[in-house]
Amino acid sequence: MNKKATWVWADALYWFFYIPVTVIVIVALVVVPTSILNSSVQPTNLDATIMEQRILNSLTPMSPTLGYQKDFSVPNPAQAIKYSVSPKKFGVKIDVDEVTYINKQYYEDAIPLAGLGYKKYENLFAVRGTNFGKVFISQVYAPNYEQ
Amino acid sequence: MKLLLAKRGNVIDLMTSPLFITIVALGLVGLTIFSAITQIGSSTTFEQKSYSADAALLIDSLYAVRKDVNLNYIYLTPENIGFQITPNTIIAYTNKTPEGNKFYYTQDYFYSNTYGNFAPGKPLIFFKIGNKIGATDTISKVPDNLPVISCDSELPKFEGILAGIEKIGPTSQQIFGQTPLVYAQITQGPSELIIYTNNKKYANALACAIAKSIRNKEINFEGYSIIPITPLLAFDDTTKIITSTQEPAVFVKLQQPKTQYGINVLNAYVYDAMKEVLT
Repeated sequence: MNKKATWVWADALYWFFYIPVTVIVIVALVVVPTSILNSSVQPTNLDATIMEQRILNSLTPMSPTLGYQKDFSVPNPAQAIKYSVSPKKFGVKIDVDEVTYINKQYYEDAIPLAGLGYKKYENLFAVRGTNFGKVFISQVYAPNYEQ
Repeated sequence: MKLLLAKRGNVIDLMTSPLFITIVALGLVGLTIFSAITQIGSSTTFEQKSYSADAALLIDSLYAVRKDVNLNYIYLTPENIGFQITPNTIIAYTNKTPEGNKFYYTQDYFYSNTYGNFAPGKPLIFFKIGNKIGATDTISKVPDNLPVISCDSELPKFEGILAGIEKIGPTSQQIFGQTPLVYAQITQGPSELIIYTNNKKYANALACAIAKSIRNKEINFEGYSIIPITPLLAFDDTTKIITSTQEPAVFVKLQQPKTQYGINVLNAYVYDAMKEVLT
C-alpha cells in the first residue's frame, strides 16, 4: 500500500470515530443535566415509608370521626385500602391473613424487575390488639415512578 | 498540521481540515455546555418539580396521620409558585396558567377531599379534620374541629339515686338516674376504657370527670376515649337508650384482662370512682 492510500485509510478511521463521539458528547450534554434533575426528585424511600404508615393506620381501629373504636383483630385489609387509588407507577402487596394489593397488575409485573432499576421495599410489622397481627408489606416502585 | 504546512490553501481545504473541524466542534460543544448551564440556573423546572413532589408527599402524609388526629398546616412556598390540586395529582407552576410539573399522590376515597387552584402568591393551608382532607387559602375555611371534650367544665350538683355495687358487672346496667343517666359495664378483654356520651349539656364533662376519677384509682388501662354519639351511631341497647334521652347520659365501658385485678376489686374501684363524681 502506498503512502497516499495509507493517509486515506487513516482519515477514514479518524472520521469513523470522530463524528459518532462528537454526536454522543453533544447529546449527553443535553440529556445528562435533565436526567440528573429528574433523578434528584425521586423520593421513593420517603414515599414507601409514608405508604407503610398509611396502610398500618388504615388497619388500626381508629375511626376518623369517632376515635378509638375496637381492637385490631386482623380486619379485612381489602376493606381498609380499597378506596386508595393512584396513577403512580408503583404496586403494593399487603399480607395480613389474606393478600391484598394496590395496583395489583403493576406489582406482579414489576416485582421480578426489583433490583434492575426498580426499587423494592419489604417490611414485616406487628400490630397489637386483641391478638397480635403480623402485617407484611411489599412495595415496588418504577425508576421514574411519578411520571 | 496539514493546514499549517500547506503552501497554498483554498476554502475547501480549510473547511475539511481536521483542525478546523475540531475548533468548530469544540465551539459547538462549549456553546451547548454554556447554554445547558444557563438553562439550569435560570429555569424554575427544578423548583416546580421539587415543590410538586413535596406537596404531594405532604398530602400522602396527611393520610398517614392517626385517624383521630385533627390538624392544619400552613404550607410556606415561594411567591412565584402556584399549585393546582386535583384528584391524585398536584401541579406546581410559575405562570398564570397551571402548566408545570406534576407529581402524584395516592388518594383515599374513604375521606372527603377538597381541591382547588392556588395561584402564585396565595397562601396554602393543608388540613385534616375528621374524615376531611384538603387544602384551602384561608384559615377560616378550614372545617371546624369535631367537638372537643373539655375536662375543665364545672359540673352541677347531681340529684339522683346511685344503685348498689352489685349493678356493676359484665352486663350493662343503669347505676345512676335520672339526671344524669349513667350506665356502666365491666368486662374482660384488652385493657381500655370507653365512655360514650349523648353530647347533651354537661355529658362530655361528666364523662371526662368519671375517666379521671377511674384513672386516679390506679386502674391501669392502656387507652381510653370519650366518644360523643348520636342516635344514628348507636350500636346496642345501651347506646340507643343514652342517645334517645334529652337528659345528659353516659355509658362507661371498661375492659380489663383477666389477670390484671380480681373482678370484685375492680368493680369496687370503679364504683368508688363514680360515687366520688356523682354524689
